[in-house]
Amino acid sequence: MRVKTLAITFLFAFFCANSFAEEPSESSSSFRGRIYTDQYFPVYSSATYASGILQSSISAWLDFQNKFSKNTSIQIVGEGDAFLRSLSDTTESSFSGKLREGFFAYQNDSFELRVGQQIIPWGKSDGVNPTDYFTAKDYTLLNPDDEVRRTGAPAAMLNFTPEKGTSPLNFIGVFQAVYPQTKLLIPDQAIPSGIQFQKYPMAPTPFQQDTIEFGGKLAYLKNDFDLSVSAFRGVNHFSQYIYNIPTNQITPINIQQTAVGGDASFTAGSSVFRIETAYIIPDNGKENTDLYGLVQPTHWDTSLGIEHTFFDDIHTQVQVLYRYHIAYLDPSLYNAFNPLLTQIQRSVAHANGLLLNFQRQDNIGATFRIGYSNETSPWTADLFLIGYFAQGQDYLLRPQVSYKLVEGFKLLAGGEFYGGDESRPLGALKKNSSVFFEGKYVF
Amino acid sequence: MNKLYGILILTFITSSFAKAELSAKEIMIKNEDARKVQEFESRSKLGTGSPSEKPKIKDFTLWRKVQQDGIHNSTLTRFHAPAEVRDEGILIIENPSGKNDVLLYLPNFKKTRRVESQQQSGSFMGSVFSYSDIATPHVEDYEYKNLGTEKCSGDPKINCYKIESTPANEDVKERTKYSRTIAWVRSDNFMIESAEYYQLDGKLWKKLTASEIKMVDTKNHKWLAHFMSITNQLTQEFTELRFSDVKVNSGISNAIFTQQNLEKVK
Repeated sequence: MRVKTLAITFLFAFFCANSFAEEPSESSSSFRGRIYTDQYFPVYSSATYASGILQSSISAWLDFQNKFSKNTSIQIVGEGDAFLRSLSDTTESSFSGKLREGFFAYQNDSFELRVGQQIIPWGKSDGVNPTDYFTAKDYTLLNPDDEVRRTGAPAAMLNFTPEKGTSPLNFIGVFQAVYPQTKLLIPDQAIPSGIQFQKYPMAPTPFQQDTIEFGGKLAYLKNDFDLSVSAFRGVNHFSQYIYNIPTNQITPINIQQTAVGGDASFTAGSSVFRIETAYIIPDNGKENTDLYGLVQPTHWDTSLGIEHTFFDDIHTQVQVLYRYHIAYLDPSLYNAFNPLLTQIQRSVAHANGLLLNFQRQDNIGATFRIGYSNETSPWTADLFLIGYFAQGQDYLLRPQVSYKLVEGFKLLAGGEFYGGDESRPLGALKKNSSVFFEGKYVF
Repeated sequence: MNKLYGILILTFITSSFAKAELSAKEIMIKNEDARKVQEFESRSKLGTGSPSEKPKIKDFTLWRKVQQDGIHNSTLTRFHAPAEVRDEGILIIENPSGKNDVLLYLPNFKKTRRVESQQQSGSFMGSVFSYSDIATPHVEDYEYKNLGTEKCSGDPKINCYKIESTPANEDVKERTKYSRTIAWVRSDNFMIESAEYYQLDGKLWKKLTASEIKMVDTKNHKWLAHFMSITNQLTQEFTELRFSDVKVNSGISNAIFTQQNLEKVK
């Protein structure tokens, strides 16, 4: 189905490229792409990884852009992947093709309108973005570049700047026809025993009342600082489990939610400061709803960071993460109308808390990044650490180094090391710790 | 009566000579005036290499416009090649304080990030030029000393003023990481023909030569060096910057020098 969509979109682009190119002086088209291969090996030997690998893959992206006139253009990014993966009990091989992005854009000094499949990432923080309402990530896809995991959705986005584009005020409105789904690595600890369990949710149907999303952002963008406020109505892209009594099955669902938030960044001295915050109100997370105590409650999510460069080439960033759950109920205090159901529901609540990181009322964490890059050197290095502190620490450490062999071709090696308390979200993924190698050619 | 005429003529000649002997600052004011093209747009090639390595070329379009204060510039560069940097945009807004704002758009992340002032002395897209070299220097940012005149090395028929510039404040010093600069300014059009840049510890760091200096705005007598070459004297790495398809005063909208525009589809 995805391959078919991709083929139709490319045909559409080809048709557009030949029928609208009426302003030769302004029109242009370009093809570009990347081919990369990734090899992920488990750090800890495990019987489940019979093949000795976590992922062996080769992927290609093809990016076509056509500018019909000064104001109109189209951009299409298609992706094809061939995988051999053993993230679970079995080793699977697969081939997939998908449309990462494919949208038509109209722009003038004041407006930009994009319609079609697109990725709309919001938020200023590094790695953890409370206001990233519109995108999702596939964490089962192992890749050193987090942006590769990001997925978009069919959407329309209008960007408006008054005073013919010169005002510091900027408004962005987004309508998304269907929400994208984040796919997490599910640790064994999250899977309740003895009950039928469906790991990942079914794909939603576009343009349904419960699958559409919309939001707006009002930003004030000056050259030395910027700030924005945003609002969102849509769906939590992370699925959560519910127990279906008639079918005796645990199934994942995506719960609708409302959110308000904002972000800001500014330069002070030789440092850049960033803050991003959101207040998120899930429909089923309140005290008077059926799923209260089983799914993530209303919460406030914040990230505050500082970035500084030392010796011109050493870039550092520290962020403090804070999340506070309002009306939090400990899963072990959940009570149903009979002991068996109580036990099942508590295991469901535990699984959701583990996967979405709401195992306690407040959650303090931090990220640290240190990187070396010098435009004149073929070497780069980066070390990223994220950890949570209260009541059982857990962390993910991700070091990587890259070397540019020739222009456009880069080799990369690194690791993803999960550790700490195995009852916590990152510690539970210890089995997925890996070392990896990547070769990437960009053209 | 004749004596009076003689005194008047002598006074005129003396004052003319006095006028010809410009101070270092006056020369640099004329330099800034000569190169201050109100608006210009150019296709640009930036080639960086070393004696043992052939230059790697980066291809970009540069837009520059003088801000409302009539002194400082806004500059936008948008890269076309190589593929790794395609569509990356760099917006440099010069400020009266001497601290420039630099915003970098990374298309892979679809996000714009701020470049700290300390990084602005770092390499501009892998070249020997720094971000602060790409932003233009302004008269008020420096103090000047006239070191005399010499034959211009690129055109010995012309005399060049040899001018030493030192940062006027700590912000400029932090942004550029230069303790001083010596520039050879042509006496005919007041354009810099060559320059030397010194590190904070006083060591010679970079040498610049500018050529193909052409008048691009005949109405306002504005000049542009279409080719520049800069060499890092410590590593012998060099960068050549060539401007082509230069358009001046073509009506560049202020809207392109905004963060919003950086993130638009190009």
